Parts: sequence; structure tokens; C-alpha cells
Amino acid sequence: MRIAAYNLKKTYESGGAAFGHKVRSINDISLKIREGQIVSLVGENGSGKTTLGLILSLLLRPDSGQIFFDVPDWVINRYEIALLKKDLDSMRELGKDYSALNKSKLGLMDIRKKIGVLFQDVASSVDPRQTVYDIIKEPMVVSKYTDEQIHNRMNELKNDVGIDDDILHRYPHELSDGQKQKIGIARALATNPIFLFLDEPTSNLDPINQRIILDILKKINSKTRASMLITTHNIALANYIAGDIMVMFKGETEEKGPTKEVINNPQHPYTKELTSVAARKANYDILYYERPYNSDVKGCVYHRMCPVSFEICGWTIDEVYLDLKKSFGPLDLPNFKLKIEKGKILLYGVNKDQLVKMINLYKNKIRSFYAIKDIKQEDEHLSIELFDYKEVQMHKVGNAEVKCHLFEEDVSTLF
Amino acid sequence: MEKKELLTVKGLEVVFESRFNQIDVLKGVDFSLKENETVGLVGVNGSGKSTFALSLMGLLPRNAKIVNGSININGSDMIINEFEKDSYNRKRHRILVNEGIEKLRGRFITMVTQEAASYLDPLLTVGYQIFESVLFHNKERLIKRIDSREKVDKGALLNYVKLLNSKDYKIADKFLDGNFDEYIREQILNITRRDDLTDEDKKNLILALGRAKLSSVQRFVLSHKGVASRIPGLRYILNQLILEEGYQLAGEILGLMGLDPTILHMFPNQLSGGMLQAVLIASAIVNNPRIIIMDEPASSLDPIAQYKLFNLLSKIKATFNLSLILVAHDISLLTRFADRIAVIEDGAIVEVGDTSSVINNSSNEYTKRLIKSVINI
Repeated sequence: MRIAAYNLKKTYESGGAAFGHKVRSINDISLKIREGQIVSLVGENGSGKTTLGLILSLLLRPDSGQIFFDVPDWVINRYEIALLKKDLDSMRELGKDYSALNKSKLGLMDIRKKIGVLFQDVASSVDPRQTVYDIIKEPMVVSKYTDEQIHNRMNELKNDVGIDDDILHRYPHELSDGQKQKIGIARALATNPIFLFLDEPTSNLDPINQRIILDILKKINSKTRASMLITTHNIALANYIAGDIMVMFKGETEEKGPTKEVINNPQHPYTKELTSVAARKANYDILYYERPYNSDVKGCVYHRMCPVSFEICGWTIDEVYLDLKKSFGPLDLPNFKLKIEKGKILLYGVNKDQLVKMINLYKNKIRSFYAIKDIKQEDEHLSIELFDYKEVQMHKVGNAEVKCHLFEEDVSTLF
Repeated sequence: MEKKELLTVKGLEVVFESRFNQIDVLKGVDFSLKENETVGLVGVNGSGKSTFALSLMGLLPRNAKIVNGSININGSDMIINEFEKDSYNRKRHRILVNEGIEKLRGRFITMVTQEAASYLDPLLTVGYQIFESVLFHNKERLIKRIDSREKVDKGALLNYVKLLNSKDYKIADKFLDGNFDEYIREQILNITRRDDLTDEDKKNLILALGRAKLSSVQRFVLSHKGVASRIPGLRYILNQLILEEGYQLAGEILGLMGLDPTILHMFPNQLSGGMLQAVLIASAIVNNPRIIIMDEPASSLDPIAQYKLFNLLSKIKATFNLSLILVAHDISLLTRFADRIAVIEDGAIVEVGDTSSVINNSSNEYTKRLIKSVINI
């Protein structure tokens, strides 16, 4: 196993004026990558794809979790058994001996030589004063290659990636976008890495260059058997290149498994939406669900945008409050007031019949109204109570794993 | 009926100059845009799409120069050929951009730029940035909107709502044209065109327009703007009134676009990429333009956000009667939304035609390659 990562968590904390403001980037993610396997991370902007990639390429330290890089299989088996049994002692012991996070500085440097990274914007991640030749050479110089080795490796790279000789003595700003991307790949490949992290290798390229770059990556993968982790927000590209896929949303895994299975038979509502949009089949209006995102979500992270979400999916009082305010706001009712008090929503200036009529009218559009459990008439005002939410678990469906309430046994009757 | 041409470009040539050399970026581009039409402009990276869009707006960077050609927007030429004598008394051909573009830019023709996040000010609320262009280009409009609400005939509003009740929409429209001034008409239309409200809500909102809410001081400030803008305390009240009206206008626009008006008082960092793109579009349509140029609207968005964005675009195109120029490198995005597609290769347009004919039976090798290389599921 090239890489096995368990229960990774990372939270960014801002300093300065917004000191103490925390943003949860990734939450409880586990991922395994075999030799020669290509895994693609798919998700919208800001879903934590890049953070996960940086953590797996050991450039960023997670808050908690364990990463094993290129360890014997028995270590991983033993760790997984311990994880199932919740045997903290043996987990800690295995982590101490084998985890990449517990390595000394020198040990980490050794591992990092085996990792290649292609950053999102190549032009801004290389030195503008270096020529292309020096840019590609630099990792080899750091790894103490001899001049002859550098010369040979450079010739190999030129053939593999398809760089022309006349580019080698130009500067980055003199190159086209496709050429820049090739230079980035060549630099990432320079020291013969066994694991490559490619961050959005094709996002700002035109279709012709996209295909050229993806074909290069495929060729390299079959030649060197290097494992690859590719982030992209285009599920069609993932289908083209990757054997396995992991769909992320707001820092959580929603679905992972073999690409063919996930794309042809998506289970999670978010994956369904992604594939239908990519196949240009979607025809429902999803605009309504878009709302600003708040980092402390309860239950399922996708419940606000989900077209099939129900009462246990994690609706909070604030969300229902906002939706009520939004749907009653335009009416301009006299004496209308909304309040949150002791975990309940209090409504003034509306009677129960009006409210029930309103809720039934908008129920299919505003899913949060499903979370309303009870409406009570108390003197002067109505008080609204909500259902409790339930935490989501990973469920196995075929070869894929899905994180959705739909697959839980005792609630499946509800839907 | 032949549609009117809003924009015509003929033989446009643009060069970028550096100290040592000159790069021809556009080599004679011919282009036209008719009323209420969506044209997609496709090409690979570096083929001159963005330069073309910038030259239409008269916003080319300093080292770029228009060498030849003509740009005609709504019947007036934007490029002037001039002959002047230099210090050696030789005749020299000079090309100037007409200053008239400054009057059209932001009002008649607007542009949504490539990266939404970097064009919004992180220190200002989203709502302010939506109506900011009204504040700069047409401040009077905001004041007149308040004025018109103050002076509106409440009886006429009631009659209009009654006409809506009887569902005689033709008569209602006639009534609307005859009885109200343009500012109140605009506000009523902004309510009736919304499709997220029920009829009942719309009527309530229209009636609410008639309820004057200004205090006596505010009324004084509005009627004596000249004096008020010179006295500090009163100037503050006037500015506050204008700001409030701006937020209301921004809210109306967001409502028309089907977006949540609660984002008005938020800051750009609180919104997702797709929402920011929508905010930029809102600020582009707030001055009622006729043409919007969108430079790579979707390249940095995920597929779902892209899909939403194009849904939104087709919706506002219908309500605001707009013509769109969509600049993109992904031809598959445009197949649904563009009426015509122009393919640009290396600074020259190699093919123009109806979307279906370009996609399905193009004779051009380059276009074929563009279509073929799109990766689909």
C-alpha cells in the first residue's frame, strides 16, 4: 500500500482581525491508495480537496489522524483491526513506529523525495527568474544528483512529458498555459517519485490542451507505476483518467469507490447531481438551495442543498428560522415577529392555520420545513419544535461507500 | 422582421507592444451582435478572446494598441482615425478610442470579468457593490425613485391591483404605461416579474409602495437637495437616504434573479464562487444595459455552479431583454445557451454560424478538433 490515511481532520484558524475564527477544512477522511492507482478527488471549490492533497503529500500537518506512507501491508491490516476494536494502545504503538507524521525531520525529508507535487497555478509556484531548465533541475540538485544523472534524467523527462528543446532556455512568462503545465509535471516527476499529487492539472486549459495533459499523465502512470492523486471539479475528467474516485463536499467524503461504478450508478444525491450536470441531463432548478455556508454543520453536510433531505438530516433552529423569515418577510404582515428562545422558534402575529398553509405551500421547495415536529399555540404566539438530527455513517453499497441517511436501516422507511 | 444590430466590428487589429518586439494579437476580426441574441466566442488559451472583449469595452491595457478596424456600438463609431503632423512635419496616422465609450460603458455595455473573487472589494458589503455603479453613473435615479414613491397616486395603485385581480393583463399593462412615471413603473415591474412570489404577495408589495415612510426632515432634504448637500448634517441624511434606496434596488435585482436577498449585507468572503459570480452579474445589470460581455464566466466554477450560472443567465436575459457575448474555451458549455458561435483561432475568426450547424457539421478542421477533444461522461 502506497498511502493509507485514517480519520484526517484539519481546521484553519485565522489570526489578525478575525482572530479565533475557525474554518473546518476537512473532517474525518480516510483514504487508501495502492501502487499505480489513480484516485481523483471531485468536489466543488472550497470542499477541501487541496488541503487533503497537501496533507497526504506531507506538506501540511493534520490536526489529528494517521498517515502511513509506503509501509508493509501487515501494518495497515493490524491498524485497521485496532481501529475496528477501538484499541487505542496498539493504534498508538503502530503510529509511533510507522506513521509518517511521527518521523523525525531527516526521516520526513527522505519520504518527501518520493513525493511529487504539481501545484494549481504553475506560473505562480515557480521562480520567474529561473529558466525552464533550472526549474526542472532544482529538485534533482536538492536530492544531490550528479551532473551526469541530471543530464540523463532530463533527457528522459523531455521524452516522457514532451517538452521541446527550444523551450528549455526560456523563462516561465514566455510560455503558453499548456507548456507551463508540462513544465510543472516535469518538475514534479524529476526525482522519480512514487506518489504524485496533481492539484487541478487541467482547470484553466482549453479542451485540446486538457486532453494532451491527461494523456501524458496516463502514459507516465503506466510507465512508472506511480500512484496519483488528482483533484478536479470536473467529474468527466475523473472518468477519463482515474480508476477510483472520491466525491467530497464541504470537507467530508460523500461517496468513494471505483469510478465506473460511481459514475454509472451514483448513490449519494450530490453525486447524482454532479453526474447529471456533467452528462447535461439535469433539468430541475437547483438555484433555490444555494445559501451561504456556515462551518459548524450538524448531521449531514449536504442537507441544505439536498433535494431529498428530510427531518433527521441535520436541520438546526437557525436554518428553519431563516427560511421562515424569508418566506414570511415579503408578505409585510402587521405585528409579525420571529424570535429564538430556549431552542424554540416563537412566532408572533400569525395564527396556526396561516402557518400550516404556508408550510404546506412551500414544503417541497424549502426542505427545512420538513424538520418541524410540532406547532403549539401558546398565549399570543406560536412555538415551533424541531425533530432531532442523526449523525451520518458510511454505508457500503456494492463496491462503493456512501455517506447518506438514505441507507440507514431504521430510517429507510421514512423516505 | 430583421433584428437591429447593436454591435458591429470590422477588421479589428490589435498589437501588444513591448520594448523589443510587437505581437499581433488580433488580426482582423469581424463580428456582429444583434438585438436579444447570445453569441459564444470560443478558442484555445491565448487566441485573443479576452483581448477582443477588452477592446470592445475600451479597456485595453496601456501596451496594447488598436492598429486598424472599426467598432460600432449602437450606431456610433468607437474608433476615430486621425491624421496629425509629428515634429518632423510628416503626416502620421493615429487611432483614438472615442470618448463616447465612457458614456456607454457601465450603462449600455457592461462586462463581467474573469475572476469574480478578485474584482469585489473585501471591505464592502455585497449589496453596496451591486448598486455602486448606479451611484457613480446615475445617482439621480436613486433620488427619483424615492421621490416617485412619495408622489405616487395610491388610488391608481389600488386600481392597478384590481386590474391584476381580474387578470386582464393587457389592460393592466396599458394602465401601467399611462398612469405612472418611469421610476415607479420600474419598481412595479420588478415586483411583478418575480417568479418566487405568489400573486397575493405581489399585490401586497405593490400596495406597500404607496405607503410613504419618510419623516418631515427627510422630505425637506429631498425637496431641497442643493441646499442639503452643502450642510453637513443634512448631507448625511441625504446620503443615508440614497444608500438605503441603493440597497433596496439591489434587493429588487437579486429578487428578480431568484437569489436570496439576505446576502445583501454580507461580505464577499462569506459567499461561494458561484454566488460571487451571480453578484457580479447583478452589478452588471443594475444599470439596465443592453449588452453584457462575460469573459470566461464558468472556467473556475464546479459543474453544478456552472449549470446554475447558465440557468440564471438565460433567466435574466429574458427578463432584461439582453444581448450576451459569452467568451469561453469550453465549446460544450455554449451548445445550450448560445444562438450563434464564433470560433477564434490565433487572432482571427475562422467560423461563425448557428450553434447547431457549428457543432454538428462544421467544415473547419480547428473547430472539429475543439469539439472532438471535449471529454464527456
